[in-house]
Amino acid sequence: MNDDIITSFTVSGIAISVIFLVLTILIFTIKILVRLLPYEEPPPKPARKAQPTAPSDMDEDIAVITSVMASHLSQTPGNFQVVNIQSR
Amino acid sequence: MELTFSGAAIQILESTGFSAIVPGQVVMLIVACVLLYLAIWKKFEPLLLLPIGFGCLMANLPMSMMMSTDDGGLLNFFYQGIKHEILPPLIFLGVGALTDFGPLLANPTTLLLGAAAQIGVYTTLIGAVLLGFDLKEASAIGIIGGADGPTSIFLASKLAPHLLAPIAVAAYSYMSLVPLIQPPIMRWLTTHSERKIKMAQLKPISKKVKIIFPILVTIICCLMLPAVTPLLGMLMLGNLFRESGVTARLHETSETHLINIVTIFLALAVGSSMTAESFLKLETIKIIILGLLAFCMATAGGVLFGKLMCKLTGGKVNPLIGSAGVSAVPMAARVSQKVGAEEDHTNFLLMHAMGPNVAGVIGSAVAAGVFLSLFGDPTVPGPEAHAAIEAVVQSMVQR
Repeated sequence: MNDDIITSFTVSGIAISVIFLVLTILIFTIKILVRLLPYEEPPPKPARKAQPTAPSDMDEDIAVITSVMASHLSQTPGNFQVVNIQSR
Repeated sequence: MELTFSGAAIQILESTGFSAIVPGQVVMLIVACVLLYLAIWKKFEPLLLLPIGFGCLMANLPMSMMMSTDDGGLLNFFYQGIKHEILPPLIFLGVGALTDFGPLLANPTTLLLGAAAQIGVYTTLIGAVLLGFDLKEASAIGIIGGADGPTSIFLASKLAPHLLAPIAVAAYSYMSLVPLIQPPIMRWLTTHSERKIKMAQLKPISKKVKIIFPILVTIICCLMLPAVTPLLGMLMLGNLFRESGVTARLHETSETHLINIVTIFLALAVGSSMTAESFLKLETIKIIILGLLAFCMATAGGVLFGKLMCKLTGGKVNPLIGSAGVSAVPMAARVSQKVGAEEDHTNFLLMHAMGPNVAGVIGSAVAAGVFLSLFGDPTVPGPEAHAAIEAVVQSMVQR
């Protein structure tokens, strides 16, 4: 029992020393790593150029599509609204 | 075969569990119900205590073949995952995938707080020896102070498998009680002015450092303590999944589905080992008491080292973050934040506490590795290396 107690103190001393040693090595490793590879601000993203739109063309397309849809559905153009046209 | 009514009735009655149940199993069924109550109604670590409780419930139903020792039983298969060191490392894979080491990398000296909190492990080791446990058992009990469930299970399954159930239950129960156990100790050991210390904002860390860190930790730690490779290697692999940015699917699986599935297997397997023979012993009460001591000493160790760092840095470190060194991610860090905010609601310690918190995970794994190097089975792999360790242990035992 007494031997076990003495051994437990020895083991505790050795073990806590090993933990501090391992983690101290890690601290220095991290410090070196951070110094070698410092953080760099990411380059600012180029501002997106606004897509040139041709409202007059778009309006014309919307008008045509609306009238065709109204005719196809046998409804008045005021019953629905075409909001977006995407070309493929 | 002639069968009378009374004969058939007796035969059916004898085939039920009621005829075979023993008082010890009744007590264990009550223990299982208490665990389920704590998990469901008190919300104490429900993700773990619920399946542990239900595993315990099933294992203690007579003739159900659900004990971890029942060859061919369902939970016996799950238990093989603990016995053969499969499930705890897989949990660590998930933990690694969930963990951001950024705060630790931004302030690496907080690793020392993770080391200091392991003092709880060693004071408990000494306490366990004083209470009559042998060194292997005492090591397995001591690691409860690491506040890390998978590490406790991993070490117990290797050094003291007969104590696995009480150690796992104590570890998870006290982890759920961290918000109750830690604050009084933290307040008792610190002054008002120390608790009010505001720490400087953490510097950002480059992506490359975050990627290289898990690889370097694996190389350094696993070369120093090979026995810890299953735990630390998997932790770092999970983290590499997260930081590399090229394994999004593996990262997602590790941090969600895999860790959830493995948690179910692990917790059920632990529950299945909670049989009357293994649990209803004086040792269990001793382990529960030692577990509490482990958590208290670990918290105190972290806070006291935090105070030392505070003095050495001229008041730049808030000692409250030291308590997060006990692992128990992220609950211990939240406790540091909460106690700090009680003193000054504009003080945000959470990110600073995450450094020692994840350092605690590494620290407890390293602590387990030291125990395995000293007391692990030297006959398994690497005969030369382990022969040397065995010689050291033998000389210690002879002394």
